[in-house]
Amino acid sequence: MNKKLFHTILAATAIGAVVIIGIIFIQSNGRGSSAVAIKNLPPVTAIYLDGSTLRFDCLDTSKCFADVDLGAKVKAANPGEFGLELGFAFYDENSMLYMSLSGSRGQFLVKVDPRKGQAQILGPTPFLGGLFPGMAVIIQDKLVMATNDGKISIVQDDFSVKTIDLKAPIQDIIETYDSRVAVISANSLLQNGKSQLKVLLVDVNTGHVEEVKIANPQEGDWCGF
Amino acid sequence: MDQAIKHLYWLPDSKVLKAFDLSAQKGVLSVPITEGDARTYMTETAKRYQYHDIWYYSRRRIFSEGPYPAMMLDMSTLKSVVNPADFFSAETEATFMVSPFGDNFLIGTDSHVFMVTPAGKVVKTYAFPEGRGRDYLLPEYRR
Repeated sequence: MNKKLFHTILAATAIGAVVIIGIIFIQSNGRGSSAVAIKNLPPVTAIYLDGSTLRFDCLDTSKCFADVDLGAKVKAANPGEFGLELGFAFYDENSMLYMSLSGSRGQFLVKVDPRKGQAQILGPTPFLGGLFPGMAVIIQDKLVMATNDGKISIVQDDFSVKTIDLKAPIQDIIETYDSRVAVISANSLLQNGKSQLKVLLVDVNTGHVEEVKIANPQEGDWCGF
Repeated sequence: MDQAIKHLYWLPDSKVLKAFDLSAQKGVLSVPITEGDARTYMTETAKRYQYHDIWYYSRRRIFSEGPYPAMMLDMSTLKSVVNPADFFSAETEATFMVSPFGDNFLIGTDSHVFMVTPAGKVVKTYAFPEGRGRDYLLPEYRR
């Protein structure tokens, strides 16, 4: 009887060990999957701005990026209350981070290599003047920003900015299905008694501008897609 | 008609959301909006955030006063694919941050980040470390 009980306990222990090993393997494998996923996707990241320091939480992997100090200009513009806020942030296909910092004391565009802890900073940036949420879109991995006075700024791979002056007030910019950004002119047209929208399609790679006119189905706030 | 833009969406009177097909040159959708519906806020800043046929709008804690504008809308039906309230683990939570991420979306609250398909299905959940999850931003990754 005792021998049978011993074998039962032994078997149960062995099964328990297998289950525990299985859980460890699955967890380990899961972590490994995250690592593989990082090659294809950047980590699921939360970014915080603390004074002039960027801090990161990587939620799907145990290792994350070290803090990045953005330097004296950002520090001066972010004294605490009513300072800078993170506006938008995105990873490009090389896992470089772009983000905007906006506040009453200045607006900055920041490019960070989070793995190397290196940052490039533009700012205070004149092309951000008049920028408000929504006047920035990402077209084929390029950050495109617009100002109401008619300028389109396209951030290049080397972090320089190519600005195109459309010489017409802009109502809106909208991403499209291809490499162009649709710029909606604030000046709608009247042709044959019907209202038309003037749309400028700007290729973010070549800078080529094409003008098209589309029927304005009805006055009102709208979005194109 | 140039196919860079396929549809126009507009809110003629904040009571109905309409879609206009530029190729067919006709209206294709008309969805009534009830009072308090998040879709009424598309007249503000929501209209430009689009990804994988989803129209989305985030609510960050710093802008958390007032009614609730956060949403994820299917652009083919103009209906919500998620209910923001389903993602909160406490009544005090206010953040509902939507961020495109690969083939999916991330939804961040004050305590968790959820990976959600364009159909609104939660496929992964991540908890913030203790004491974190405030005043953060989730970077997008589009492809």
